[in-house]
Amino acid sequence: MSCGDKHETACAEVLNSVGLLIDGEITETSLVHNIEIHLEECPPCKSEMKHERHMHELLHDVLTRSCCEKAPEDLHMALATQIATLRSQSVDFMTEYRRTEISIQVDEFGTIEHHEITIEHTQEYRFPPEE
Amino acid sequence: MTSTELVKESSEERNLRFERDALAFTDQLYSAALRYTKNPHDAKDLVQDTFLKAFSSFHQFEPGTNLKAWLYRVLTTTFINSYRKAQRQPLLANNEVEDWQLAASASHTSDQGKSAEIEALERMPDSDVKRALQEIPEDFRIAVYLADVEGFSYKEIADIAGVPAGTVMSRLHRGRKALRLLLTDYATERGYVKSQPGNTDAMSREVEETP
Repeated sequence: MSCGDKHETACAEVLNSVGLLIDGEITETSLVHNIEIHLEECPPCKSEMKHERHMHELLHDVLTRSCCEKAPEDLHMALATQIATLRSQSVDFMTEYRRTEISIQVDEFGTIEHHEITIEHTQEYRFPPEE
Repeated sequence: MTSTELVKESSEERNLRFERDALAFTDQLYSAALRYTKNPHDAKDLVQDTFLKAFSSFHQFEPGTNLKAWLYRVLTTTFINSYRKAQRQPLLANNEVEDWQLAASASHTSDQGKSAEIEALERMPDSDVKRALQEIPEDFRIAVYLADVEGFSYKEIADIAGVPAGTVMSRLHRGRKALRLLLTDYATERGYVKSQPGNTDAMSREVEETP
């Protein structure tokens, strides 16, 4: 169904994008811009957008309010025991990471500045080493 | 300038980090496990299995990246690989539509329909919300839970559930629609809102349609 008016971007296209827009999953700025223009021109779509946003927030509120059970005490205790057992059995491994920091300074012609930090998992070994 | 330093972590230090950082998510993971398995007994087992797996592969987790998303991936994979098989849950049809836009028949909703939906949600007791969530197909439920309760992005959900982002989009869209429809139905049954003939029928057709 369309509102009957002519728009640069069709109503159906806008309505299909409403969910993505609300979820913040449309990254293309020109697309967001086209939708915004359409919403300003088309009251039915604008009202649909407003409703969808409201429903999105309500659904989020209702779901987070309803789904917030605390883990029972016996589960917490079981986990503590489980992990204590695993720890006592675990062979001591040493994990090594390589942390590299690169920075490139400005040269005499331009303003190139580059800075990066890489964390790379390198190796694990028994610690202390096996006899 | 380049500088490299080696950071060493012993098992003991890593174990302590696990206890400190990962176990803090116990309540959250339990709540998610309840939605996945639909019963407290399986939910407890699932959380225990999740932490067992997470503990033994914690050395693969890169410090500084998203621990919550990593734990949810372990939880979701464990659930899909073992519990779902055991529960013999029907999977979604193989021809699940990747492009939900083809399936969606976009139209403007009537004002009456809009206010009924809002009222239904506002007045819905927690028990009914959970019941509705249980009734929607499992893959939809997981997507909706991860997006709308845990606030994960499509990309994160795709990674957690091991499916393409397009599938996440489709599942979320259909899942939310189905959920809203069910909640409106409950509200009508219980008399929170007046019956909306036509409107809910149209919505149900849209959700069930699989071209």
